[in-house]
Amino acid sequence: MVIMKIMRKSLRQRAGRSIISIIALAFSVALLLVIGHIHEAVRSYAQQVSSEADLIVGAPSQPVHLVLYSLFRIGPPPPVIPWEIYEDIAGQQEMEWVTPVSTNESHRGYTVTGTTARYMDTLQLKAVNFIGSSGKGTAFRNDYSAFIGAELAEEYQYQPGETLTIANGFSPSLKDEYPTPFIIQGILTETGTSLDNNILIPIEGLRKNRKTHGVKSDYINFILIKLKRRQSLFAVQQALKSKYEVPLEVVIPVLELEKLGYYERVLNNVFMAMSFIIGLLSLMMIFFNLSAGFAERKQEVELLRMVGARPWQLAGLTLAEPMLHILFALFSGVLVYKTSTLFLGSWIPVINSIQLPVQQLFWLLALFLLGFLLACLPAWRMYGVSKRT
Amino acid sequence: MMRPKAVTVRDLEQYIGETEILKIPELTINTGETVCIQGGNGTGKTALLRTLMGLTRFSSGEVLVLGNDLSMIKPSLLERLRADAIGFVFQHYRLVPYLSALDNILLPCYFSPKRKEEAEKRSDTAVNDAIRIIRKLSLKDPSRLSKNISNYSAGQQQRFAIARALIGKPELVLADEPVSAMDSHGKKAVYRILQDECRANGSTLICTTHDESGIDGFDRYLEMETLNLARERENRWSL
Repeated sequence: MVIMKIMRKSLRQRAGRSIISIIALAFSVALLLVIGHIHEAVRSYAQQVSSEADLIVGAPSQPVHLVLYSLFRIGPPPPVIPWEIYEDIAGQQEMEWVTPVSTNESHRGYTVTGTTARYMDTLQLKAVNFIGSSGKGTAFRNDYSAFIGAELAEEYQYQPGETLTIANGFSPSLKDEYPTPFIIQGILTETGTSLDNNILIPIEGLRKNRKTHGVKSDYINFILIKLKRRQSLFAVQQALKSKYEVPLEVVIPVLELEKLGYYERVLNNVFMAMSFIIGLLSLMMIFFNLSAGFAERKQEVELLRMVGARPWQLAGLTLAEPMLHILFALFSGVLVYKTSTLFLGSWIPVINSIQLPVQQLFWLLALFLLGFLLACLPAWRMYGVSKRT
Repeated sequence: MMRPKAVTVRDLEQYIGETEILKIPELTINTGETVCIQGGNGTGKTALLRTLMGLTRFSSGEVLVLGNDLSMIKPSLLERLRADAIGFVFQHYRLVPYLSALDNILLPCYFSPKRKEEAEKRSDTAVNDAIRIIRKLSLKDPSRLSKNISNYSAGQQQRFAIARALIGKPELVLADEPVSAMDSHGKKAVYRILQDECRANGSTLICTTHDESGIDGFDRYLEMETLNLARERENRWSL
C-alpha cells in the first residue's frame, strides 16, 4: 500500500515532465485507430457498393472515372449515351437487372438524378421522413415522386409533399424549365457524398417531362448492370463494347476499384507507419525521461532501501510509472478515437457503418508491449542498483 | 558488568580504487552511549557512517553493528537490520521530494512493522509520535506537516530528517552532520534533542560534525584525525 502511495505521489510529481510524451502517444494511438477505421469503412463501403453492380456502361472515358462518378459521385458526370442502348441492354437474356441513370437536369443548380429505385438500393441510400412508400423507403411512389438529399433539404427547408420544378441543363433559363413539377416523397439520409445535394427522381417521369417539354433526344449518362451469371462477365463486357455503333466504355467496377484500392492501401500504410513512428518516438521520450531522472532516483532509492523498501518494490515502482503513463495514453487515444469517429460519423456517415476490426487493436498491443520492454530496461537497472545498496 | 557493544570496529580498511579511505584499528561504542565524532572535511566521517549503515563494503577488518558482522551478514538480514534498528540522518537530509513532511518522517514506520509498533506504543499512533518529535524539534505548527517537503527551509528539512531517524525507537542512530543547516541556537537545541531522545529510548547515538565548539552533552568525543589512520587519502583538504 505504501508503495502505491509513493507511486501516486511520484507520478504526480513527474507528470509535468511526462505530459508531452503522453499526449504524443495518445495522439498517435488515436491517429492509428482513426486511419484504420476510415480505411476499413471506405473499403467496406466500396466493396458493398461495387459488388451490387457487375458492369457499368457509359460513354468512352477513363474507366476509373466512370466507376467513381456512377457509384460515389466523385468527379464530373460522363458524357451522355442514347436511351436506346439502355433499352437494348435491358432486353438481353443475361441481365438480371439494368438501371439507367441520367444527371443532366437541375433544380436551383443542384443535380437532378433520373433513375430507378434499384440505383438507390445499389448505393445503399435510405430515406427518412417519407410519405406513402414501402420497403426501404426509397421506392418511388409514382413517376413524379422525388427524394432529395439531406443537405439540400436542410438548406431550403424542404419537406415531403412540397413540389420541385426541374430544368434542362445547369444554367437554365425559364424556357428550360419542365412543365410538370415533382413532389418530394422523402429526404435521403446523409451520405457524406455529393448525393446529399442531389434530387433523385424516377427516370420515367423525367423522360415524360422531357417529351412534354420538347426535348428531342433521349439520353442517359450511364447504365448499371447486374448479370444473372457472373461467369459471363468478361464475355458480356466484350459483347457490349463491340455491339453498338456508338463507342462505349464497359467497366467492371470491382476490378477498377481494386486498382484504386492498391493506391489507397499504400497511402493508408504510409499514414499508419507515420502514426506508429509518432507512437515509437513518444515511447522513446518516456524512456529518455526515465533515464534522465535515474540519477535523481538513485538518491531516493538509497533512502527507501535504508528504510526497508525491497529491490522488487523499487523496480516495480520504476516499471509501474511508465506503464501507467502508457496505459493512460492508450486509453486517452482510444477515447479521442471514439470521439473523433462520432464527430466524423455525423459528417461522413459511412464511418458509422463499421466497428473497428480487432486487427487494429494489435497496433495498441504492439505499442503497449514495446512500451513494456522499454520500461523494463530502467526497472531492471533499478533492481540492480537497489540490490547493491 | 560489561555493557554490550553497539558498534565494534577492528582493523577496518576501506579503499576506493587504490586510495585508502578508512583505516581504523579499533573503535568500540557501547549500547546507549552518545558519541560525537569530530573532524574536518574529507577525514572519513561520512565514509565511516556509511560503512556502519552497510551502504559501502569495506576491504578488510571486522565491523559489528548491534551484534551483526557486516562482512558476513546476508543482504536480507542487513535490510531488516537497517529498517528495524538503525535511524540515520544523511548529510544532505535525503527527503523524498514528492512526499509530504509527515510522510517523510513516517517512512521508517511504513516499511518496518517494528518501528511502527514502537511509535504506537509511545504515542498511540505513529502520526502522534511524529508530531511529538517534531514539536520537540521546535516546529511550532505541526498541522503544516502535510505540505510538500519543498515548501520548507533547509533547517526545517534537516529537522524532518532528524525526526525520521528518531521515530520508532531505533537501537542505533547514525547522524552525519545533522545540524549543518542550522544556526548556533538551533544546533544546540537539536543536539540536545538527539541526546535526550536516544537516552530516553536507550538508543546508541553516533553523530559526526566538523564543528569544533558548542557541542555539549555527548558521553564521548572522538577525533576523526586520530581515529582514522588512512593518511594518503586523495580527497583530504589541506588548508
